[in-house]
Amino acid sequence: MIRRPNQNRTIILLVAPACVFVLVFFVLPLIFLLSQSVLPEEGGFTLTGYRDFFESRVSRIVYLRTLKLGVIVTVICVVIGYPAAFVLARMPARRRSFLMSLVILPLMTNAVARTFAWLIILGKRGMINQTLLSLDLIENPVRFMFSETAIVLGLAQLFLPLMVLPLVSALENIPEDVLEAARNLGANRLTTFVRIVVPLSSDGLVLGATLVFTGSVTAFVTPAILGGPRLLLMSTLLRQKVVTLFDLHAAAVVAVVMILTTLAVNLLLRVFRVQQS
Amino acid sequence: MRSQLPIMLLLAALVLGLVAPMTAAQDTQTLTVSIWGFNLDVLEENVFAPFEEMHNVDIVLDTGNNSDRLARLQAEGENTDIDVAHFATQFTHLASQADLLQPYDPDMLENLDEVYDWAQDPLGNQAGVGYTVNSLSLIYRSDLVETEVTSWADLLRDDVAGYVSIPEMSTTFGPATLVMIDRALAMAEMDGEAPDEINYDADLAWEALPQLADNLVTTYIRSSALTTLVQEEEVWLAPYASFAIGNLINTGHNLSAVIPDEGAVGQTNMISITAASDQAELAHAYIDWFISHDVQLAEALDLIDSPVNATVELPEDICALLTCGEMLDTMIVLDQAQVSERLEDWLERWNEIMVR
Amino acid sequence: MVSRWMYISLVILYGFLLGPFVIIFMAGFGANANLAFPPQGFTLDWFANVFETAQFIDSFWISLQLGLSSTIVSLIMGMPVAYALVRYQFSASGMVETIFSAPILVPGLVIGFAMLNFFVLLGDMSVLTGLFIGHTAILFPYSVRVISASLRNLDPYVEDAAVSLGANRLRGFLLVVLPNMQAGIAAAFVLGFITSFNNVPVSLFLSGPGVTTLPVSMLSYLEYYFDPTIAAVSTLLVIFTVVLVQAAERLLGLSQFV
Repeated sequence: MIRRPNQNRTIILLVAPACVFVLVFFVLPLIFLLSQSVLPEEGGFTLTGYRDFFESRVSRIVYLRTLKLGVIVTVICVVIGYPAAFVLARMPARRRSFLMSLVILPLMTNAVARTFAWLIILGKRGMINQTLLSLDLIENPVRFMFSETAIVLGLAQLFLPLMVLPLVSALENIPEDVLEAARNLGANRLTTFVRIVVPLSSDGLVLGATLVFTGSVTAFVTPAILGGPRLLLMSTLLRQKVVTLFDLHAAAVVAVVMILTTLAVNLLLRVFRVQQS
Repeated sequence: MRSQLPIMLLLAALVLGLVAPMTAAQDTQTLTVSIWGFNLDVLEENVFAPFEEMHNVDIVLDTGNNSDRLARLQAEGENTDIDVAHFATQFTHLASQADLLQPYDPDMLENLDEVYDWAQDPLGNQAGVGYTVNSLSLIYRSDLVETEVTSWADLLRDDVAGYVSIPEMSTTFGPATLVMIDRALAMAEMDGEAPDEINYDADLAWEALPQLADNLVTTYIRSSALTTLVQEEEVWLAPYASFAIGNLINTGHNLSAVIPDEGAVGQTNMISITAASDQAELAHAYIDWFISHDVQLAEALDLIDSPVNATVELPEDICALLTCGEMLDTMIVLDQAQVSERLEDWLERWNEIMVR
Repeated sequence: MVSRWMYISLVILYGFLLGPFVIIFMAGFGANANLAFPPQGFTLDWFANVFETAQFIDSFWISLQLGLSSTIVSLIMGMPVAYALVRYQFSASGMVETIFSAPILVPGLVIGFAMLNFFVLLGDMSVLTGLFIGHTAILFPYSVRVISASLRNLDPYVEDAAVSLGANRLRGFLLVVLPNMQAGIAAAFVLGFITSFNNVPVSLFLSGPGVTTLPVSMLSYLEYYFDPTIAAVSTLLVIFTVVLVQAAERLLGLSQFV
């Protein structure tokens, strides 16, 4: 580390431009947002916006639905992602790096493009209905669109890579010797998995779960396209408050609740990590 | 050579990223028009392109539905770039109340005399000129719905459950749909006799709304969304706005458009000049162009906008698909003041019922 | 430990992740104007339609300009921060780190909404400027993190050696540090660009008349038409990003920074 007498000046020079930018254009708008949520147009300080939010049946349903779908999506991502990440982590490096780039590929394409595919899969004349019809499993097309199922599928596809990536890097750090030692000591596969692999990869699991969950509860495109105007989540509710109800005060409340939710989840993660180490 | 790569990247990026926006500064003047994103290709041909040529001006489009536009105007206030705003009457009313519009000058509109009296100044305060009329009635899949659809109350029928869509309460035709269902239910109670007046409280409709909600695939905000829902066979029966008929026919399905026994709801779309616009002269020219005989005729022939210019004469088959002729006299026109007064309450009740 | 049946999980994973892309490709070349599956016939009309739709072309250029300018600015301003965090120990470093990771913790839609309200307060600001500020702010966490990682891999003594040989700190940085960070910068650049280029939530509220980013104009196109044009745009975008990512992957394994 460099130690110099005019170090402080140098540090300030280095950090100041970006700090000022972020403070003025990012932190300040958020403070303004926070104040909007407690200072209604009529003036005065009030928490009624928050009371109204949690007392309204509509926003309660929307909030709980958002959290519920977030949990379901996270669970699905763990169920699909964990075994696959385990296989990937045990692969020779060359093959793994190719397969990993395929995991990343979807992340590099925008959410609208990726959600569009679900319209073709889930529609009345979509892939699933056509398949079921041709197998004579159903007589009439089933409605999948505009349902929680549609949103969950879209979100899971969107965020699965965020589960797989940290899991793979956590799992590849478990030395093969450890697993072998466990087996030599007589542990069967399941025991080794539950007692050794899961605890040793818990860091990646928790990080992945946090990324998937926060991504899911704040995503906009997927619920907007697959859910329709009736099946609102927090993000689409925020948009509705702004563009159709012109209620900036209520919208600010929704926005702050969204921030607090993501912060709470991230904080939980930190606590968990501290406990681990 | 290797070390030059990032520098070249940076340079290329700088040139593209920083110079290009600057060169985008225009020499010709611009008129920013906020309008629905529906049928833009046809509008471009019939309206925008010829206007740009005539006045040596660039039309910049801002697209969105009524509430997007109103929200934007409210948020941006005096800083808005929007010069001209297209609104359904109900929203012109709201925008005008919020002082977001400037009155038009009748002397600057040569074609105004050719426009039907009721469209010249629909709100009576020169907040805007009516440029097209449209109507809400029902459309259904005649090959899939076995019993003929004749009433607004048919939206509640069991045989169409799961295949119905209705416009959101926040849209132009949301309140209209509710009021017409109410009228249908009232008529059924009175043995088919039509009530003298429209009941804006719509108690019967509100009572039936939870049942209707169960019948819905989803609600729709834009007519284009309805077209899509019909196209993808998610919807068999729905209220539709007359300006969407061309797109609905294009889906290729067997569709029947019906004017229900209780009647269709008529509505005028208006063009207004924003309070913040400093392009009043061009904006007037734009309005004048839109209500001119030629534009009105072209728009009607393309099945987009039903004309308000009285000098436009349409072939019968075109007229039958649009809101024109006899229909102009029989359609029900809602009192916007009555609707606006209740809207906030309605939106809340609507959300309560529609949230699943 | 890896048993045969566990490979099934890979099939599920890749089927789920990549299957939708296969469907998009198919739809992009299908002749039917609706979303019926499977697509019938073959046509390039939808691709032609992409290039004929001004909305897509205009917004592509805007997204490109926005992606490049906001990435460059966030890199130019983020690099000194990363340098300070890695090379110096100072009491406020924890706070600085928090500030620069904050944009990743706040939901994009909320950022866009908060900025829109705030910019209105500031007065007349062009839509492009607003978008530029929004995108630059959300890119800081990526620039700072990736550049820091790349700096950590670099032996500080190399730089110190240059300084002790008479170069000043800035020259030392430009001549010794910067050339050695090429790969890191390229990775940060690609990552930042792609993040900006694909962003919807922040851009959604900040877009304005005639100034819309590509993903947002794709979203609004979907509000009006459900034809396979979006599939064609998506196909082109996938090709565009694959080329970009491959180029970056060659320079340095991008995956280690994601």
